[in-house]
Amino acid sequence: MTRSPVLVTLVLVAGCSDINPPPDHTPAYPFDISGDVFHWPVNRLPVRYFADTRGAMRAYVERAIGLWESQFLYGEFRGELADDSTAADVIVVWETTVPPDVPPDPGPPVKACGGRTELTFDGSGTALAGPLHTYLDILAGSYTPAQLAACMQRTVVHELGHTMGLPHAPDSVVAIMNVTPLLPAPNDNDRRTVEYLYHVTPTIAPPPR
Amino acid sequence: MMAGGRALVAAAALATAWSPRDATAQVTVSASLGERYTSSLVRDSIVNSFDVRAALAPAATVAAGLPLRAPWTAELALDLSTSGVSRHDPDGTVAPITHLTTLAVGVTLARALSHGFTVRGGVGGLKYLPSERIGIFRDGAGGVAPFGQVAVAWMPPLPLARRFAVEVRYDLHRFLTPALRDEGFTNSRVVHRVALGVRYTLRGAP
Repeated sequence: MTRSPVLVTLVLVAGCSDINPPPDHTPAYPFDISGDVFHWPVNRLPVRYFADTRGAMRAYVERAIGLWESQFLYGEFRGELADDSTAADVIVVWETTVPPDVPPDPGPPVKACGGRTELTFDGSGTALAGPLHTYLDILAGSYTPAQLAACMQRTVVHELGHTMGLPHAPDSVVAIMNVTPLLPAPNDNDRRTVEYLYHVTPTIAPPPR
Repeated sequence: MMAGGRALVAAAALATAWSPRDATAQVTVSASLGERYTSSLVRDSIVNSFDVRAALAPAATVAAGLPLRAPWTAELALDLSTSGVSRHDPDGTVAPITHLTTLAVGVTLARALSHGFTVRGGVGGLKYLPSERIGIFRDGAGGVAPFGQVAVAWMPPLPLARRFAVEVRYDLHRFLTPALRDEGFTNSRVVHRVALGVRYTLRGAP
């Protein structure tokens, strides 16, 4: 008598599982750069980001790291802020002027800033020679400080996407990785693509530490 | 849940057949320490298939037992285990995700058998407590999962080891987190856990 409830419970718990196949993880846009693939391997995590200590850069980079980390389920990527640029894997700095540190404008996105990420290859051409460098700059024009802050915030997310190995997404796919990022954060297209990227065998090795 | 509810009701009914004074005098308290294996929490395929597993974990249990009509005992048990949880790729890559503690509270019925054996069966609720909201736990760990459990313990027939018993416990529950549901998983996965430990009776008759 007393054994039957336990057995019934075990059967109920065991039922209805693993019936469906795993979900679809098809990437939303190409993740290779002319056939080459780069991402940080597990043994290089967490990726160490040094952020310019002036203005709001540190807060922008910290937010971007968190946003990208949250795209993954299975420990594919982790990042952290580094205090010392000489120990960093990625260095993110202002190109010229430091914009005012104000709350970002919540209104429609304005292209008030630009960014670029530079990778330096070693002699073999199959490995990075040193840390990745990301630069953020203010574009000429008339913007409010809040519009500039919003642009910087989303552009830092976009550039950190490059530092993780993502190329630009085509304009036909809405993503933070579009040439002109208009989203405040990675969307599902970015999530699916970066998730897939981090399960592909890379052809480019990370820089030595 | 219904079966678990019935077991709880049965245990409670049997337990309340005793007066509080009798019950307090006869309560046994035992603790066990051991190691727990947990089967895969998630199996997925992105480029290649892989699974997510909790590492072998130290497991500790404290149980309070109330003797019922011989040879039965009702027990309330608190079980804790803690370990890292990682993704395991086919090429041997292990990617840590976070640290995980599982806390389970269960009601069991134990029956003493001959030759020092005791069998237990019970039900309860299990809660995953990840150390960070990240990865499969980025949106939390979900609610309390009902589990069913069976166990066998053996007391060696040695006078000095009268309070010790070697115990194997098996339980199963279903696992799914909000983040996995968001990813497209529609069904929970059955997780099997096996613990091997040593039980020591701290108070009352072993």
